[in-house]
Amino acid sequence: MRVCLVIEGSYPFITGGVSSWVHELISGLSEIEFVLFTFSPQADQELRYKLPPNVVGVTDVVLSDKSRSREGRRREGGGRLRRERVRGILASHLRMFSGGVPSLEELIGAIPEGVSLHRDSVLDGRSWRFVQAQNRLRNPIYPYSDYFWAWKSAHDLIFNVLAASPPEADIYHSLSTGFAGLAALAAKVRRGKSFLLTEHGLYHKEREIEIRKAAFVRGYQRDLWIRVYNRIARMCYEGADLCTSLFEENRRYQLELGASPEKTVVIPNGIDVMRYSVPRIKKDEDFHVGFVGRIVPIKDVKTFIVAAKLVLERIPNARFHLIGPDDEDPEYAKECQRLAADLKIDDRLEFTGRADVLEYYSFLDVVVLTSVREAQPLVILEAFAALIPCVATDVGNVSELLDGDRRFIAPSKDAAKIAQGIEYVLEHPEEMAALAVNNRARTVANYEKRELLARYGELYSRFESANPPGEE
Amino acid sequence: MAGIGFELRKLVETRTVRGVLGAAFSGILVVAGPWLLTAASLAAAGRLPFLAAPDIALAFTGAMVWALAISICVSAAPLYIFVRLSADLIYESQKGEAVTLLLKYSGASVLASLPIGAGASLFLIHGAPDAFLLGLAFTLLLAAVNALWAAMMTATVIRKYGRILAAYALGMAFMYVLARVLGPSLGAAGALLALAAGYALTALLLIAATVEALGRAPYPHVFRRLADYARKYRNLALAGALYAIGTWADKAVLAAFGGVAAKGTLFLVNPGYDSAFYFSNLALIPGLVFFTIVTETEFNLDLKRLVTYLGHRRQPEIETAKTRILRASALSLARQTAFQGAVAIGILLVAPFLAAASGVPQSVFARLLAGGFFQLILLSALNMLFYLEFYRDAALSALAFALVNLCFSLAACLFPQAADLRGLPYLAACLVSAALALAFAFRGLKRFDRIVFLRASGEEYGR
Repeated sequence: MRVCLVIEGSYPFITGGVSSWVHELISGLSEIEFVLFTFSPQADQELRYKLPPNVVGVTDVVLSDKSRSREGRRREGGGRLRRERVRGILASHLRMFSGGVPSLEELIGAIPEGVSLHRDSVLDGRSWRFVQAQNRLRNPIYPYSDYFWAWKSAHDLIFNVLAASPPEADIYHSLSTGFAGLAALAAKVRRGKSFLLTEHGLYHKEREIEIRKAAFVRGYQRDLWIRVYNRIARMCYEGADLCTSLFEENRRYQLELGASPEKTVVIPNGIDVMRYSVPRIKKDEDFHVGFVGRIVPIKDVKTFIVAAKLVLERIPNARFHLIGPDDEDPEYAKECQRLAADLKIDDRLEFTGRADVLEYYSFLDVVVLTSVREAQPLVILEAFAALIPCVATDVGNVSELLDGDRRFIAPSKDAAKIAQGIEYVLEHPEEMAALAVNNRARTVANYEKRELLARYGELYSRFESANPPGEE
Repeated sequence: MAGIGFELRKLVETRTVRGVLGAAFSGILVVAGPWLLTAASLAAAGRLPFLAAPDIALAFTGAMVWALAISICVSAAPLYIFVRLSADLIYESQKGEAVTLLLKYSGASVLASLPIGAGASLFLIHGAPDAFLLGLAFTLLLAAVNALWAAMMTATVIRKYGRILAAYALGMAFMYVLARVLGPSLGAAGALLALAAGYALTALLLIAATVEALGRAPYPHVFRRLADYARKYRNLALAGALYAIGTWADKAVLAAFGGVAAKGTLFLVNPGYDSAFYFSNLALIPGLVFFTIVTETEFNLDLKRLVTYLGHRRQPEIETAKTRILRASALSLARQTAFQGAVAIGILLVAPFLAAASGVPQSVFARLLAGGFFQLILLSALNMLFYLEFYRDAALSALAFALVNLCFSLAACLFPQAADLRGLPYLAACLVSAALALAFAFRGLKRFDRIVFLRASGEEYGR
């Protein structure tokens, strides 16, 4: 059996929760062949993981690659075929603007694989008039060029994805909606294979937050992008043979956007509990607080540093360890280091860079997570397996993981509440010891990697046998 | 020429007689000064005693016309590419680099002219008593003219109109003096050498003025860049070459089929038709001045507004700007055409005298005058197409101009039993190509917004 994992902006080029999950899945299902079909913002990225031997191929597509469009143009045909395609594209838009979901089957049916439609979608005379008509309706305040470029970039990306040829596989397993989901859906339509969608976070919600925050995206551009991501998500939910999510709340969002209940299932994250069950040691008399993760804005490291300052004002022997790579956003990492220096706590706070977390889990007294966005953070499960209490912001499934205990849950960016949580851990050692045992037991019961691998192995077998005969 | 057009427009807008006359006089100097100066100097030289001998005069005129025709037809394509690159460099404030480009391009065009001129001399001069000297003078004239085109274009781009006139005045004076010295002993070859020297001096003065104004800066790989531009703007080069061929097609065909040449040469000319053409083309000067001051400046302003709006304004405002440029262009072209029509009618009143002076029937002169009327429209429309960078459409219009003129001229000469059709092919060519270029220009304006976005998306649409 061969599974094609369709991934955008993550494994094997970027480290993080989703990447770790993918790596563990591939390594754990060694009897299955995997091919990676990845979408990246730029070419020739460095591999951040040593690929397991059962990864038999990697096809990376650069999302903004114009050469693909040019290559496709040579084969795009002319005359009647082009007119039909343009008609198809415009009909899909009209359906979308009237609240429906474009029929990808119809659209893809008219496009041979490898043919980019970016010219037809934007630059053809009829498409141009259509864009103008839509602009008149929806963008009365801002310049036309804003609308045009938003429209064009969205379509370039979409049609670049649709033009890409995925590797041959029995199952197309996408790790998000968005462009990866769209590519997997196109593969399903073109190749008649199964499409499995696994969501950690909710791609379209995450993009929406980013778009709303971006100052340069204004007016109707904002609505357009949000609408594009929502529609793609809806198409993926409707087209997938099964949608899995990490926790129930995300499953409900999938249902809201059109997934049918019988095609959705929750499969939580899983970790190798034994691996993280490291012997506890008392390193010294200091109180050790850990942050495990990449030094990137989404982890809101600055709130952790401010919380550290607040804690140090009352607990001078506290020590803070930021354990994780700082090379993904070096500018942000520098800002964090400057902040620590400005707050005069850099002697009590270390940036370890890439390090062996197990070594730190053996002596950390508390693990803190300050992220502004998460799904079901593995770091909390790892800390629980290592018998370490956690304090975290209320994002994604954190509240459920922390059993809804508000003493350890802080609103996003609330450094004072994080500091309170840390201090509570220090001040209640006996209660924390009992809580740690309980947390570990819950992790063993609900978040074991063995269970996760078994469920995905079973799903792959089911969908492989569901493929139409003669097409394998 | 939009730059000087704006200056002259300010004079016109004073709405005083002095202002309007000043603008008209300056406009004539700008658009036709070098042409008139050259013509006057040649007319003065023509009165020199040694040029009274018909064979010497014919050899001189024939060699001069052929040198100009070959130069224009051969150098038009690279010259348009050179001008485009120069204008881009100057726009990007790489003025010193533009000067280096001018120096290298002029040098190369002089060097390239030598084998072309020598080859043409071998073919066109047979058994003339002073064949070698005549060939040498012809070749040097070709080289000097080619260098002058480049120098003149760069000086125009940087708007050194005063220096252009001064350079021409000095160059032509030098030509006259040298012709007086060399003519009596060397005959036609002496006059040609004097003309070549006059042009060479003019070119050198213009280059010196350009170097003085812009300075010099290193600009490596000049010819590779020119080659890149030629690939990118091949339709611009084609438009230039075809327009040049179209301009000469009827004259070349008539000369080939019924022209006369000095003894021992194949410098065939058709003195009557060529003179009539020359006189009728003088009628274009007022129209060209109108174009420079009114049509081009208005178009330039409206186009700038539209381009700015495309990047920064709402769609209704863009549509208003587009409607405005369409209407304004149509209106200013109509006004220019009416003005030129009035000039042409005025000249028609003296047509009998001019036709008689040229030695052609009045009907031929009238056709040439009408042809010139439409040629001005063609020039205006081509200019619009160049502004819009619709080089493919410009090349198609120039192709129509060249083809119609060439084919009609050949047909008229191949059937000599027909009535005297001289001038008709030129008129038909100007009429057809002007209509085509106008249609392209207005179609282009209507789609200009889409095409700007197409080009901004990386498509070389229409270029």
